[in-house]
Amino acid sequence: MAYGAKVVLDAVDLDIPRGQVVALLGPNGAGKTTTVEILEGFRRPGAGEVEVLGVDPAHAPEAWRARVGVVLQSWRDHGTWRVAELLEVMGAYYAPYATPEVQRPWDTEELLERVGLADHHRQRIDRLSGGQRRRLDVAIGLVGRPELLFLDEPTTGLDPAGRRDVHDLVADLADLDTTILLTTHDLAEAEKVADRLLILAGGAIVADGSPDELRLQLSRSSEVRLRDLTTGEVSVHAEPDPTAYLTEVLTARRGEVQVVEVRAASLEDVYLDIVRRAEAGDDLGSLRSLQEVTR
Amino acid sequence: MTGRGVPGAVLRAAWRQAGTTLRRKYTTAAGLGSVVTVVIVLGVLLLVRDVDFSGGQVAAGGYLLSGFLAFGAVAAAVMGVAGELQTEREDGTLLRAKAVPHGMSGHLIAKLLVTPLDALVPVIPMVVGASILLPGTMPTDLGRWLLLLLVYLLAVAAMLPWGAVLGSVFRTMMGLAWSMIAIYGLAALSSLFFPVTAMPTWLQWVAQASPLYWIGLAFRWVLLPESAAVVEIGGVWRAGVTLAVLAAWAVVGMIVAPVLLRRMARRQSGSVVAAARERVLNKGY
Repeated sequence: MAYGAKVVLDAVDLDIPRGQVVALLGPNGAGKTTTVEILEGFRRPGAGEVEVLGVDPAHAPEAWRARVGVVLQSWRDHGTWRVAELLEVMGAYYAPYATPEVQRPWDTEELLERVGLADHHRQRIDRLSGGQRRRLDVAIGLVGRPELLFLDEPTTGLDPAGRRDVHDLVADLADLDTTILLTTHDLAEAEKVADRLLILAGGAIVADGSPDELRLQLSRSSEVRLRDLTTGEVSVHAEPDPTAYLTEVLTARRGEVQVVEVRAASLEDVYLDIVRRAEAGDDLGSLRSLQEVTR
Repeated sequence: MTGRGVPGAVLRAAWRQAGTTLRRKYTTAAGLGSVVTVVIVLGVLLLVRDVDFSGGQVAAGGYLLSGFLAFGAVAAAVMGVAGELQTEREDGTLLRAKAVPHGMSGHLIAKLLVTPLDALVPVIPMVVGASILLPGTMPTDLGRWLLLLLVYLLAVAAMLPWGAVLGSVFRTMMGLAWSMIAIYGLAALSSLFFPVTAMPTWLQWVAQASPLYWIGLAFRWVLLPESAAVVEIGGVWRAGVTLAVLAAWAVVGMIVAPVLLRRMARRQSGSVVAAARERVLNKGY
């Protein structure tokens, strides 16, 4: 996928099983939005094959659209409408796609209850707070009871309470077996809500695994800080597994040193390292295959 | 996944969307702004009610009233629709429609339902006010009233697709603003507010290339007395040609507009909406 001469996505290979919550991470300009828009059917890829719920999104029928929910971060529409009005009008388009197993659309009152807007169903949309507006966007994404939900930076601009509400909502949806693909800049958020993290950099997915897998298996810089009790000097040692080093030092220099800190690399350290290496052109093939190795 | 009864469901959803749009528009101060404009126009007409054109053969009040009604149809169908499409593209309304099954079709059906009614809302107080304040300017028999309604709807039908064309071609509010200024110029050139025969012959030919001229002529034909034709080209109303020209503009517009609307809808994406938001935040328009 390229914009003019600039290649944005190249060799993106991705397979998401049903029911998984996946966070797509990457620096600005990494191609997150382009990737998601291709999967949503809003943009056609320059090359390659895409299949979402068994269908090419670029040529998907409207029945496919009924199975997918989209929540973007830039919506400011229908400001003078009431909350319930917008949900009811949007929901009406899903009515023909109800099945005996799946009631479509979602009952408005029940849905508002679920997203925490039950007390605001008669409120003008342009008078909602940022967090309430975000919850309404999520509710509209859910009104057709999607099997797959795209969430584009769901907590951007929210206060801590609003962020926690969205995180809880994602957890609730995961319990309903909804597949979720969300983009975020927030590593802590990704770690909290996602089963799996995809890191996009240099136009490709350069790391793919659960938060624990990424943190533990990709870490190359666990740090051990030792203080010499005589001189007061602090020395730092870094290696993937410092157990042997610690055992050796503490045995050989018994009573001479104090362990100040043993610190595993944070997910942020791992993320920044991967992105830096990907953008420098390092070969990250082994990281890409982590998913297969660790499953 | 059944998908049964889709056309009926889309129509019902579009109907509901149109109803909510109208209700919310005309229960807010911004929506009622058009009614305030009508009061100002009626005030102007009251001031010029004794003025006439062409040595007393055409009353200025009646002539200007027909011009304001014609311009009202153009404003609602062209400027209204183009401005709404522009706003809807930037605030995410169109993308929202694209994200639901048959949402874009429903959105356009709702717009087709809303626009003629939207165009009629400011006309009703104008017509009522003119009937009271400017006696003799409004039709006196049912047939003429129906003809006025027909001309109004034909004018909206002729212009509405071109409003959609402008709304889909211009990608920024500033570009659209320039096109609106051009329409004001075209309205002046199309002799909506003064007799076309007051202009040089070559400008009269230019005026006839504009649909606004024919819309104005249609309104004058319905509202003004037979004798007022003296200030028209050839001294006659040319009613048949007028209706045919307006129908032609409607047909051509309905062929062109869907192509451009489809292209516009295809290009809608989250990044387009985000870029528009960024532009508005940075530049203020």
